[in-house]
Amino acid sequence: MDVTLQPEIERMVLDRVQSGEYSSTSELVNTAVKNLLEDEHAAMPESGKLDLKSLELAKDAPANLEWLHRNRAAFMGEWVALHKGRLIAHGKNGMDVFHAAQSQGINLPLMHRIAPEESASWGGW
Amino acid sequence: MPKLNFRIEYQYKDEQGILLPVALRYADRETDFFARVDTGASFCIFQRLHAETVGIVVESGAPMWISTVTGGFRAYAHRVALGVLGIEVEATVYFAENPAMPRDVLGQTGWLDRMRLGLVDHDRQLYLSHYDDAADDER
Repeated sequence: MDVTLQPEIERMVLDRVQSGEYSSTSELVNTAVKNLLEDEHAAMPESGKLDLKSLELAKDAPANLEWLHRNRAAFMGEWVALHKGRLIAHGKNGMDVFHAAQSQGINLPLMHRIAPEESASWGGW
Repeated sequence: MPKLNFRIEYQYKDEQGILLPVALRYADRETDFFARVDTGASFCIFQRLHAETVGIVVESGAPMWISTVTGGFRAYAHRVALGVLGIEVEATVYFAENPAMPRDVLGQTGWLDRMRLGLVDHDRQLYLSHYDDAADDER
């Protein structure tokens, strides 16, 4: 297996090997990848499990879509943060909008960017 | 003829496409948004903002060039959990490098390939189960 490391990562690997922390680049890379995969596996849920939070999100979807349908033109080109069919925050910068919603106590707003092409027919990728 | 049972029945409203609410999770963080079901898309592809709101460093993933009819764009693979209509799966999805890319798509690899999907577009009705759910396939 050929693996090409990005230059900055390669530099970090060589630094750690030269410091004696690892005996070789292979040992370091093997350890790092093993830890990464084990951590990912531990963090992931059982596949296909019941997810009540996304069911709740689905219940709110009609109200959020109705809001988008009614207000699309007024917020064209902006990110909107919605919650149960209510506008919580909006603006051009999505991260600012997300944080603005959180600052109003809505930790998980539905984030949606209203793009001009939404009003045109979708032609797929 | 085969008969299938489904876990979820969902009425989608939007005439612009089949938009489903998605809860995307990474580590202990979550972000919620609408994504379009696209059986013609090879992968699940999401806007950059959604990665950033859950703390994913987009460029730390494996890069891939996504081709479209109008050209293409670079995206990066990341392993996340996707909760859609009450079913959560873990999947490798792609986040667009360009923050201007305005689409969120539930495609084949990572989502459709873990689901059993029924569609009656005339009625705007979507039926969904995880692939491993009992299908009650009667032939």
